[in-house]
Amino acid sequence: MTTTPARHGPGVSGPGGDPMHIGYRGYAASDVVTGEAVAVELPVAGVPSRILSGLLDVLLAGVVVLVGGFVMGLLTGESSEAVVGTATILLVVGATVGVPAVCETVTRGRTLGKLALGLRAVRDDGGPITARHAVTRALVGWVEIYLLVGAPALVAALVSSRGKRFGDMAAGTYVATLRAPLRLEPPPPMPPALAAWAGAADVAGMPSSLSVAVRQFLARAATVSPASRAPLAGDLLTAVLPHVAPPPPAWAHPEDVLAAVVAERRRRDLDRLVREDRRRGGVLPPDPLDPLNPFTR
Amino acid sequence: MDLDAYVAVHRGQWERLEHLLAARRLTGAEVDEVLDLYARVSTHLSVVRSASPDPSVVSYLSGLLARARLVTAGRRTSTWRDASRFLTRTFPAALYRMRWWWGTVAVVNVVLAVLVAAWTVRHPEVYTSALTPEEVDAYVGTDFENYYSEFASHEFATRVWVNNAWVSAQAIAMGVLGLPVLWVLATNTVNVGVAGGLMAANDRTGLFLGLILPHGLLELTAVFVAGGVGLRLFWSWVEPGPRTRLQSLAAEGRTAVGVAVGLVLVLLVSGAIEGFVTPSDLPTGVRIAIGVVAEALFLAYVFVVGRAAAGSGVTGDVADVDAGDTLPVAA
Repeated sequence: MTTTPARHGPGVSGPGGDPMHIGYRGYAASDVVTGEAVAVELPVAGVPSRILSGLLDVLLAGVVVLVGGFVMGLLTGESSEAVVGTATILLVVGATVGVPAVCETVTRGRTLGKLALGLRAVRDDGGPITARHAVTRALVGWVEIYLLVGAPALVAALVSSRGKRFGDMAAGTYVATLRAPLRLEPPPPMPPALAAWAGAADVAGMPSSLSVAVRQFLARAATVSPASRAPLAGDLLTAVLPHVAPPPPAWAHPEDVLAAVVAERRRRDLDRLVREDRRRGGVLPPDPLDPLNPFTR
Repeated sequence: MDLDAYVAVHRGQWERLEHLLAARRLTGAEVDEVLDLYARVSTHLSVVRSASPDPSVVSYLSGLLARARLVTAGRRTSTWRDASRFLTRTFPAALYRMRWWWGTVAVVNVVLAVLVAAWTVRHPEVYTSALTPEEVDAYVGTDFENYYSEFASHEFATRVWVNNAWVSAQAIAMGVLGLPVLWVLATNTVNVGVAGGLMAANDRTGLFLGLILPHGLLELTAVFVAGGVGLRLFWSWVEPGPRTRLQSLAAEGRTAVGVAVGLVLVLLVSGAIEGFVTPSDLPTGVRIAIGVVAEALFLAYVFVVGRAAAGSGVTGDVADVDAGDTLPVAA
């Protein structure tokens, strides 16, 4: 699965492109194109999250040094200065460089701090990191976080376009947030008064960008301030009307019309998808990966 | 296409993929299922992005695909073959490809050390301002020699090894910033030069060389390699050549850290010599010969094994599949 980092989000219309074409550009996201030629959005972790996870890692290193120092004192009480010196170096290096490197190798990109904040170190093209990446990040991290008290790391992360500190730059990685829950508002139900009109209307011609805008407005309508709610609904209705035939009843509230259009499109799309899957099921054997899907059984 | 209808029909598959990705161990059938679902969910993401992109759905599916990719593409097995490959191809090729850098660093630093030693002989106030005449006599007469036999040989050898390995690793890591490497090299060279000058001024040049040369040849070579590699790392983002600065820095950074790991083994040899050979009772000629042989073996390792590996295209970086893919750029 090869990937390339994309410079722009998809759907950016070039010169002379369709002005109604959907331009989806995620907020502060970094798009990576996978081997399936799909642009995957891997948002870069924000600097405050990085700082917090870094502090947690430094805290962990401090605890390891303290506990290890105590154990070392017990074990090397009788030993010569050479042994004590060796053990000290090994303890400090192990706690500040070794522990993060091993953690990131074994978990493919997470340390304790990153685990706590839901971050993960990934390669520049979105893939998993290996031992060499982890050791490079940790070794350069020693210089920029411990020796120089975090100043170069902070400045580099603030200035770099993908929030890379020097260790990330030297290894070819960056830190991303990979976990995003699916927050989809429940779709607006069909207003009963307009069901008859919508069932017989042609609503298929609406461009997708408009239907996305209508759906998002309806989901948040209750939270929009009353002063702007009516104008927004009116504007959307004006944009929708050219694509709907016959026109809706004049007594209908704009938001009800919009909800009716969206609900009707949803019902028809659901019927279409189910019908297509049934037709497919009649020709092909049952889907081995989705045998219990109630929509396609 | 309506987003809600699409989500309703396909949600079951997304939740199945979530469930599989959260599992600690996957059976063979489950791995096949994850691979199939990865391809299907990629299609779903593509359809959603082009037809009706809702930010929450796009982020969710992107995160799901990224995690699926980590699970399916992130497994690495380590074998003895990988270790032997590192020692016979990656490390020597990296050393060979950077030979001009650490060679120049070595020559410059040796000349500098000699100059510092000559200066110290001419200007004794360099050490007389810090040491009383009794301390100078103690240093020249006994302390310098006893340094090598103060502790048990194996303890001393380990101490020296760990210390040198860590200093070299730091010198390489500091290469990202550049100037600290010069400072580390300069400190090291000035120390050696002043010690040499001090010993020469008191007519102990033979003793000095007899104690330094057995382990010092290989150890100083390793330090100069670390310094040269660090400077090369600095240069990789100053003058990136046909690649972007970040690409160049990343490739050289990974290579440099590979060299840092390999130098640990080189310094193990020099540490063993310093711990066991230098303070031993062997005649001076034999000890120096051991040092010269170790150095010659290292140079043969670089210029024979390394040259062959570099000639067959090994760069010292990780394998292509691990380095990831980049957009090709015009030089």
